Amino acid sequence: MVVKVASRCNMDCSYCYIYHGQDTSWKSMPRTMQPAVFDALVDEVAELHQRQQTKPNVVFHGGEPLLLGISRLRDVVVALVHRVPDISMSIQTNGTIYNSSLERLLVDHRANLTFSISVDGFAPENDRHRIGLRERSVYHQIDATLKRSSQAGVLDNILMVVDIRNDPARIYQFMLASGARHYNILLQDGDHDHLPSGKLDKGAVDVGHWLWKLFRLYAAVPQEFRIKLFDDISLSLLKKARGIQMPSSTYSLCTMTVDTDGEVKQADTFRINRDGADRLAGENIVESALHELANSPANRESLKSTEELSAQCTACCYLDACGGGFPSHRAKGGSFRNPSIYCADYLYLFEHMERALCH
Amino acid sequence: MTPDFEVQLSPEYLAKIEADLKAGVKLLASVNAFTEYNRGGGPGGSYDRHYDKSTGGITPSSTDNAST
Repeated sequence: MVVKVASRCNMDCSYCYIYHGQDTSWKSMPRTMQPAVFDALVDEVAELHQRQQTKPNVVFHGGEPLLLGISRLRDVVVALVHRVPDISMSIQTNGTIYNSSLERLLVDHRANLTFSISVDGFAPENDRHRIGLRERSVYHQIDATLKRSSQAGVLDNILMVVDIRNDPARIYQFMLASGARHYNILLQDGDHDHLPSGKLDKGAVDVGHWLWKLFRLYAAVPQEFRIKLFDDISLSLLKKARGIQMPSSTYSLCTMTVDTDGEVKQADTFRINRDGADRLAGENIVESALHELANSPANRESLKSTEELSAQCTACCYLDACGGGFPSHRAKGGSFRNPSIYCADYLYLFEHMERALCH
Repeated sequence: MTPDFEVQLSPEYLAKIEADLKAGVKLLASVNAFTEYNRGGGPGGSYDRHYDKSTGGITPSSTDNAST
């Protein structure tokens, strides 16, 4: 569950799917989540936990979630842990805000709360897209957060977005230096109707080649960290080679987003596709039960539409490794039944990794 | 094999993925196989926008029961 505790950000990243996508809903949202919404959120997460019998995963997100204020964030964390002792929570931040109060919160709730920073490398790489308001670099603040959180032992994860103009060797050096235990690599958001600046030719494999170069650096020597994208693909390819089938299920993983006004929506990343693309029936968590909204006809229909794959995808030998790609990246004219805009890159990467792993 | 395909994978990396595979297969025997395997949320519960199906995991066959 993505919980938008703040609707604004103190950065202005050029590729941001919230502020530079097709959706403009953030403009009319309360700047921060209000107490009544927090109270309902705690109740509904506890209820959902009992009903689905698995640990809920709550991600504090924004905008920049720490604009809520550390004290208010602590109150929510404490309330959620009190109601759901084994809850899993994380903070996804741009890394510009870090102080002793936040560090205390992360240390105190280490069993339940992880800390993840979005940063794209050292200053030259990061500042291509991730800049502060009025186009000023804020890398010195992010760097200070990386160092302090790493030294405190609370830096869990770093999310990085690919720009093929960056040297993969420099990105690898950043990973070695920054001290996180987990990294993940994201591709710039866009769809067939709105190609991202880093993917203007759908037939090119530049992104796949870039990823392959980073994988070669990563997998050639023992590492203290993991890169989820590569490890997940390696695992899928190994299963494919060994003929191991994972079971299908009647369950479907779905991400719900609670906005600062309490409205419950789909995964917020659909905002890259069109204005209001993540909206469901306009229900609010203050008035409606979250488990009912998760199982509502509107949500089921929406999940179904995003899970249906193109004939090209269902016939592809790499379907299990790819799954059709990130749904937002498959959108074209309102339909998700298309290959990803990164299909050629994925194929390039899968083919190369398969040869390396399985031959 | 073209030079571009050539890569020397470390034994440690291969062992790590083999361990992931064994853990995944072991999970198949669990009654919580799907929910455990497909929890999403990234490492340690961290936010990860590839939680859905983009990088593998079990492919859901229907949307009978949505979980958050």
